[in-house]
Amino acid sequence: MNTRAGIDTPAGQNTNPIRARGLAALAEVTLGASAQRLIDRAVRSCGGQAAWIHRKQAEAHDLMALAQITPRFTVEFLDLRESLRAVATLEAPVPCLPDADGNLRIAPRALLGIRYPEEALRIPLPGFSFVEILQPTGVWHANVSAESVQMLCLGAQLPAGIQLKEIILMTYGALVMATVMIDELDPAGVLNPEAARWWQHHIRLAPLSRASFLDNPKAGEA
Amino acid sequence: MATFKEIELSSGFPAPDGKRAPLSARLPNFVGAPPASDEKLRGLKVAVVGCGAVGGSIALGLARLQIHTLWLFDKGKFKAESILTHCVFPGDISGPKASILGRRVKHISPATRVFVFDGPVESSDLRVMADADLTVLATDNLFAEIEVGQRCLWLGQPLVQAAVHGETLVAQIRFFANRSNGPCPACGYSQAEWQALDNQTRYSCDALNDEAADAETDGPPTMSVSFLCAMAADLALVQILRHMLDLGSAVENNMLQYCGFDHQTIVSALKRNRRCPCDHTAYRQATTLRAIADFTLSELARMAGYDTAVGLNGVSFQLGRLSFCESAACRCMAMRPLRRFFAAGARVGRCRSCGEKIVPLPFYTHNPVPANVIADQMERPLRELGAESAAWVKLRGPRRSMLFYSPETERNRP
Repeated sequence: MNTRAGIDTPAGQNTNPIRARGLAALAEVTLGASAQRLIDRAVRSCGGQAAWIHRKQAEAHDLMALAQITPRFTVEFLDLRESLRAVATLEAPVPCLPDADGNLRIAPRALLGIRYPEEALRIPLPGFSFVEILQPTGVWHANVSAESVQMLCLGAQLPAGIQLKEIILMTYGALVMATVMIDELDPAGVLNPEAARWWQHHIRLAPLSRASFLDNPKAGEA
Repeated sequence: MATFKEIELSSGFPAPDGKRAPLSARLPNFVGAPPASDEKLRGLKVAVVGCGAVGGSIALGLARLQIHTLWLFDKGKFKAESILTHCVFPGDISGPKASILGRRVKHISPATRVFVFDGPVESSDLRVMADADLTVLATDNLFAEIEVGQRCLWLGQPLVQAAVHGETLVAQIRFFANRSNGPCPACGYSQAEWQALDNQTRYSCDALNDEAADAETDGPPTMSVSFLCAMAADLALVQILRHMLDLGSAVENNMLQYCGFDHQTIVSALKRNRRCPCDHTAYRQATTLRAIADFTLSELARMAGYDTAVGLNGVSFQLGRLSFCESAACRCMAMRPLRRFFAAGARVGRCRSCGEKIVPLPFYTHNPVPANVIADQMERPLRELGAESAAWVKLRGPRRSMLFYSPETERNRP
């Protein structure tokens, strides 16, 4: 049961059809009362054409369901007024600027600003359009911009209509350096060339975790 | 970033006066046509997206109808193989398609105002297309197709799409009326076409810091022959003429398909796909009495019929390409409130502590901006909110959606 986000599991209900059918069954997860309340509150001010409103509700449900099936992911804030916006905590090792001795520092979690605009339904958007790392600062990653805005790039080609659950899983893979592009000469480029070069020399440190997204971070990363 | 250029008559052109025949010298008296058909055609304003073999022939056909205004959009340049299908000459190779075609159109019809945009249509301003009576879509670029289809839906503007399938000698003309929740090009996309769109679209990380950097959206070239492209162009012109002069049965929301293998012509209805991801909202349009920047958002909402006293739940505003930013940060990571509009890439200021530039935080940046995000600024003129350059506002709401244009825009429009 996940109560950190106020997302509780309804008593006596099997809220994890995921075991049988994987994340394709995310839409079938019955949300706990507090998660449903969060969605209901956001839906009251949900704007846009009918198809966009329905899609936002479905994506919001998936987001909350993800938070319900794994303690790794917690939704802190949800806004459906125009773009779908959410703040979420992802329990995952996050590479941060090396210390004075050149040792990589690892933050235990990231606070993510997630933005899913309406045009993502109909056209492929850049890989850095969706996820901003709000915390920690000083993320040391080839695919995270090193400026004051820490955008995470999820790739040069993302499909139109990509689902939010895919974005979250890709974010996890990128943050733990399981899926990372560190070739600064690649035509797609990197967002932090300095970090890319550093990681080329320290590639033995990657990935930072081999645990799957659905694993309990506290149990799996001892 | 590309901008619109008007093609002027230069000294290289022959003197137009006295050497140009009026349209009426050859225009037939079409059966069932309204009186003064030539006047109607002379007043026609058309945007042509894609200046390749099909779009180029359509533009030249429209020039021969001596229409009022033509906007030509194409980011491409002529290649050596363009000679095989396009109406171009060896000297045109490596030149920008839209500009070269624009000069040719102006040569044929000096009275036509011709504007060219040698860049991707998605980076052009919506308001330009709003001035056209109809848009012609003649590109094999799926990204551009979606964008143009979406704009025409918003504008409630007829869209004529011309395409060929070389292998089967097929020419297809789709006529989208864009009235009352009808179909759009994306409504008919198959899974393979969505897949092709994904495969064709690629971004570089440079785009994060360079707003002018566009997506790479080129797919494989269309394999065809010049006469099939010309056939598609001619059929498109027939449909445009029928629409403009009400000739024969209605062409709206129909697809006309010609197949060269059996010379069969099929007309079928285009249907709205309820699962289409495009926004099928048609906006009512109005030109304001004074510059948009002098209005408050509350005033615009009231003009759209909303009672601001009871709140604007579900209403949002889009001010051209301006975004509303709630918070910004600099390298020392100190977040600070911004709460104003800014253009992409515009400088917001420098931090007094670290001296680095202050950057709007994407998560706290809205375009469109919901009314309740900007509630505390609703009574301030847009000019005071950093939106002095706003030429149009798109207001979307649960009951009514409107596009407002600034009168200055009217004067400055190409």
